[in-house]
Amino acid sequence: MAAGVSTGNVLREQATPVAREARRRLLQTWLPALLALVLLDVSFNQWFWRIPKLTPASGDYGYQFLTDARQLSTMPKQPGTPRVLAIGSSIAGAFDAGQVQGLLAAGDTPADVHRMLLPGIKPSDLRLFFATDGADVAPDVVAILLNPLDFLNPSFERDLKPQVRNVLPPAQTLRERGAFIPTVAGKLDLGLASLSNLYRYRAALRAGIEDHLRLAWRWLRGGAMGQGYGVYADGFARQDFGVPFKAVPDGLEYYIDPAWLAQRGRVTLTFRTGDKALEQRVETTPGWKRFGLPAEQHGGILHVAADSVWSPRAAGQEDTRVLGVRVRDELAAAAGRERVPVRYPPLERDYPDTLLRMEGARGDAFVTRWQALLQADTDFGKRFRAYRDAKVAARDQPVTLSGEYAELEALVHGFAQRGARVVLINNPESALMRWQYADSPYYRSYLDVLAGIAARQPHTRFVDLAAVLPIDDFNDWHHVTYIGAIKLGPKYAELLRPLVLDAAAPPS
Amino acid sequence: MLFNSISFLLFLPLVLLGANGLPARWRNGFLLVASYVFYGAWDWRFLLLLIATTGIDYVAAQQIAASTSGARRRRFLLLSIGSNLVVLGFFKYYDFFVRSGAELLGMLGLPASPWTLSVILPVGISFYTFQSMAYVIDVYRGELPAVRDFRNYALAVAYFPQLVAGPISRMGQLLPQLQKRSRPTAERVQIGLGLMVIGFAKKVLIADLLAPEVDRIFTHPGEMTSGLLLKGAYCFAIQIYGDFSGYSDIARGVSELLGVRLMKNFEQPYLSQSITEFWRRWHISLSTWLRDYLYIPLGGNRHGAWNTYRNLMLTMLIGGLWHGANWTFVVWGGLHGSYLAVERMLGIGRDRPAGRGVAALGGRLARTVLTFHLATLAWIFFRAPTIPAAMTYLGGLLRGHHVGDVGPVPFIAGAAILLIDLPQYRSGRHTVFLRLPWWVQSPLYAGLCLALILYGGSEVPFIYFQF
Repeated sequence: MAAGVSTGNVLREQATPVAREARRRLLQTWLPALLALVLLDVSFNQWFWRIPKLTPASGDYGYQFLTDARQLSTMPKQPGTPRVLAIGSSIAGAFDAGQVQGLLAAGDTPADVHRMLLPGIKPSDLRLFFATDGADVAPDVVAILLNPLDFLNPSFERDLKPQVRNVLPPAQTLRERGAFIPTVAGKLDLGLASLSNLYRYRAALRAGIEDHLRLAWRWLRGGAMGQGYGVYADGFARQDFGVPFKAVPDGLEYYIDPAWLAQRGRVTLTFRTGDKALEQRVETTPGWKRFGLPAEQHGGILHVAADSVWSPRAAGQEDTRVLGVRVRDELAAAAGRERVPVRYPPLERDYPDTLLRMEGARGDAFVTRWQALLQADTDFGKRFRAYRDAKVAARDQPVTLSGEYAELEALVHGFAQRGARVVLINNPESALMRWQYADSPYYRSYLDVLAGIAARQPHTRFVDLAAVLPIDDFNDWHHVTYIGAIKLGPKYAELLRPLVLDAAAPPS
Repeated sequence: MLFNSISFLLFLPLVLLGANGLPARWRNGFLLVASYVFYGAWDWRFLLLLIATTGIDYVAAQQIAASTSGARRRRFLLLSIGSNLVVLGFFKYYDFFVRSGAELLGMLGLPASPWTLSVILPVGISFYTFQSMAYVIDVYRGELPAVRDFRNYALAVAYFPQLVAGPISRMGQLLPQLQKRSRPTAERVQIGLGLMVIGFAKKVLIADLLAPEVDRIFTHPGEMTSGLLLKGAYCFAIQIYGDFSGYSDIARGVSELLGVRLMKNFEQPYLSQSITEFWRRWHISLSTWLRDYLYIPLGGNRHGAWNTYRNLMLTMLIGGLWHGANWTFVVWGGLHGSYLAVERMLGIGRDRPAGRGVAALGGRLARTVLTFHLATLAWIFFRAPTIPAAMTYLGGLLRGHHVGDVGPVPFIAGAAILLIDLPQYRSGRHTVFLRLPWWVQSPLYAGLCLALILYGGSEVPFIYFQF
């Protein structure tokens, strides 16, 4: 290799033909590569957010938060339909936007309801986000879901989690929080993120690529879908299911459970075959229904997709599954397979997070399971104890309007200034936690501060929902199960309804 | 400072600017200071140790070169070797030997409470002490003149691309290049950038992506099926190769940008057809160091078969212990020593003309697969935290249940490594990628750089940093 003995300068090499050729090759190879990367970087926001996010929110909360924010910032508002936005940390998982929207619509209060959730996010982070990148989200009604833990500052949460850091605007974060970022690497990270979109949004881009690769892998392994799917042995179906046409020669009979309508307000069913949409029905009354087959249809699969699911457990029964329609029992044999056909984008993105840490136990079995998880030497066990200890440790310290509380007031003020109606919601907390500190100076002053903020800021209310759910509707001290979330839907809808009406009313 | 850290991303351009842009008389001084900053970023106190080692060996080499008295020369040689071994022994092996001694006494019915120190291991200590020691030995042997210029000598010891994980460069190769260092040519920049991108890809896109699964499987081997244990062993074999050879490629690439060529440390070791060949291709700078400064002085193969086997075994046991103060590394070295002795006994591993035809190809493939599996078997001891853990691992592996759990991951990762190694193996050149037309290289680099941006944020330390 001639280079091993040659000397010179990459910029001022002697202009020998060999050196010239080497320099030409260097530029020819690296310049297009660099230009391509720069082009991808500067055009990032023009292409990335158009790629559908395939996984559910719980697959990557940070990516979901950014996707929601981007979508809301660019989507025009529908006239006469106020935009409702619920925001908060992981406890905001209790708010099912689709359910609340359905219940509001069923009560003749149409609203465009969204949720932006990010585990570990604090009022100060939300204030920073909505004052900068999130300014164009422009909600008409804001529900801020809160828990005392959002204001405590334990090290296991306060040190900016990557997913929180990834959603905040890097330059402003560096300016505001530079002093609290302990390492030079942390500051460099934010500095670089403020210069490059590819770097800033790398977690989201990575998740997007991986989700698409996974879907491609599923599609490659799936092959043709010649059989039915998604019907349990007892005739209940999943959110989406399919039955062979030959199994329903006289049309598909299906049952809309009254509990489903009570939980969701209305249900939309989409019928299709292959890629061809046959019909979309909005069901507002319970009972057995029939879908007649098109005359020309003789073979293939009838695919049915619901826009939501319901929980028998939330309706007072024992069954902890989430269900769609019910079909005739005999169809289970023709459609009992669990594997669903690959669709793009997948339907399961609206599927609720069915985590049930206490496994649906009640009474003594619930207490046993709770104690076992609380004492376990697992990541969750440690977190479970840390949540409790952080709250109990603070019980004798009354809070004042400073730190995260002052940030919350600034957040509310920012929304109120832009004309939004705001409701501060003290979200449900297990009685097993409340009895340990609800009578303390800390908790009482916490409620007083929230009420005080609501009293000082225009168009702002405070609602305390702490005690509305029984203990078996919680996965831990303050994260509700999906059953608890379904039970909460009507309560959220009721407290939001007057605010939505107020926002929809023409200004006097 | 890690090569895969964001700090290095800022450090490298500044160093390249200074080390190549300053007036010639300041460049190496600047590079020396930069190397000390690079090292001191971990813990500035260990910088003093590095400077002390450098000073002692510099003086020892000067004295050896200046003296005609055999006894005086020997005294300074012993001073150098002794000081290096004391430093290494204190920081790396003291606790290990004290604990092992106490355990031995306990087994003999003489319980003892070991007085351990729990000192932190200075990063890269095994690499720079071996390099520095080799220099003094070379001067003593008369194979190398003593360097007069302390600055250049200190730079050769502390030269940041190779300081913390090698290659363990020979002063005879490194010093002349540093003394006459000039700005890199366009071709060297091309080579350097290419090596860095490939090195980062091996580290970030292969080794680091395998690491969580390897950690999971090796942490609880008793709870894994045989298939998962096989997956863990395969994945670790690929992970450690991707990690260490990736590091070496980055080090060589960075060094090219500084106008210095470092020796190759890897030559596609998993394509070897015997363990003997494997050691000619794996961690070449260490294996040649052990050959030149341990195996040959012990007698090498000059005193009959059994002495050769003994020397092989001793060399590999010490080579194992070099990696860390743990019996698992000793067993790893012992296994490799046994492989080498058996191969020597059977006459395997000697160069022979490659046959043609399907049968010869099949034979070569079978030998390569066998060699890979022998190396992988030894890696289990290398990776396991203790000997009992390694035995649990092996026991689970031999149960042979749910072998299908091995899954596609190790094969995909192996294919990715082969994609890099096979062209290099066939051409005999690490820089074979430079032969590709620019319109292939350019999108390839762009794609790899993009993948590195996406996956490069985790700053997983290189495995060999702990040695």
